[in-house]
Amino acid sequence: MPRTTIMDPLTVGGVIGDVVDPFVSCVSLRIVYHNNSEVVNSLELKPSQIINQPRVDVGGDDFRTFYTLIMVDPDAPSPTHPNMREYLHWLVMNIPGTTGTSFGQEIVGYESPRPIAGIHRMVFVLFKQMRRQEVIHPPRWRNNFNTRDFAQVYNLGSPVAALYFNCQRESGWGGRRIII
Amino acid sequence: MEEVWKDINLASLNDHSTRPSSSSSSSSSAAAFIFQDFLARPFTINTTTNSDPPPSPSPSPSPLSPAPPQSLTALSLGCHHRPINRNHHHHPHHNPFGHHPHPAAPSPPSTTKLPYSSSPLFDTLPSSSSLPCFATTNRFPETSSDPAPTLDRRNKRMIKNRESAARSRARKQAYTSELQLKVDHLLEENARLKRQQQKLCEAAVLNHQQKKKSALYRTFTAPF
Repeated sequence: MPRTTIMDPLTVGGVIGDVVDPFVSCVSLRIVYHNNSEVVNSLELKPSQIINQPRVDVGGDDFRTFYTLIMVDPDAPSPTHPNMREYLHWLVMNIPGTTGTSFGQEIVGYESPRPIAGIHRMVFVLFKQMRRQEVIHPPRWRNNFNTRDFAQVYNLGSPVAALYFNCQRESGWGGRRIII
Repeated sequence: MEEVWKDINLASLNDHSTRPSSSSSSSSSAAAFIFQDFLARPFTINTTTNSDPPPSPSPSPSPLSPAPPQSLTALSLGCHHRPINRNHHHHPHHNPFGHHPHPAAPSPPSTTKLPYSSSPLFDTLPSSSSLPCFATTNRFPETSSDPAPTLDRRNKRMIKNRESAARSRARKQAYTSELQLKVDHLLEENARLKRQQQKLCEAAVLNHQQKKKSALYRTFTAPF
């Protein structure tokens, strides 16, 4: 069956628009939670699978380029009324290229997502830093974080990679069951 | 009646001119807000002024037609036709929406499946107090005789349900397109690796043959 043009999952899922502006993905980003659940766009993960921070593999060429990883929930507290958009779950800066978050500087610690209402998108955005950031003012609150503004303040430019997954409360059964 | 349409036109025009088209979510929520305003007013007016003279609604679609496309682009078309259907209910002796200029123009991404002519929901709706068919029953027993608040709540519920359905469809579509991309990627990688393996295999065979040629063989000549 001839396939028509495939739409970009980030655009279809609304990540481009709600969290970031359109960008060109040029650095590889691989995020794997424990129990070998790799984050694939629009995959559904349960809160029990994402209790601890995942293993993050950043691409790039050399150790001297530094990257920033931001994890936000744009659908907090619920997708119908996202008053706390975006809720910051994790912020790591100064990640050397080809390494992971364990080699970077954790500015805001990983908070395990526990959505209550609705199905939330959890978005990871990777930025390339111009240089190693020495002076960092951590955001005072996790809620109402703005990725675009943060990128502007620290001169991060356009994202270089993004991934997202869906998450609902542990006992939730919302959403279509996608049977492949 | 005409002042209402003019007000709505002005409101939607003003909002459209002042609001830059930033993200789709903000525009859709803004349009939803306009839409709610838009919906609220005709209901109060239609139910109170039942005796409208027939000719007055007929010029009203013409001022209506330039304004709605602005609020329509962000909303599904099915939503928008409801007030027209309601007018039809209250005033069965004219049909403005038969000549409505934008029946199904662009297929909106977040479209509802409500076809233009058949609307079973509205056929079952009398003007006042019936409970919505798709909502849970007896959640809002009709205490007041004023239908505007329940209609408002119903509309809000419908809008929320539509948005939720649109999100669900977007999730599904995002997942399938992600999988398609991955499949393409993996097929390419597979083909590339197979070619590479083939080359390596051939190179190994060649190497083996060369080694055989240059291996030491016993000959009959000896130094002594």
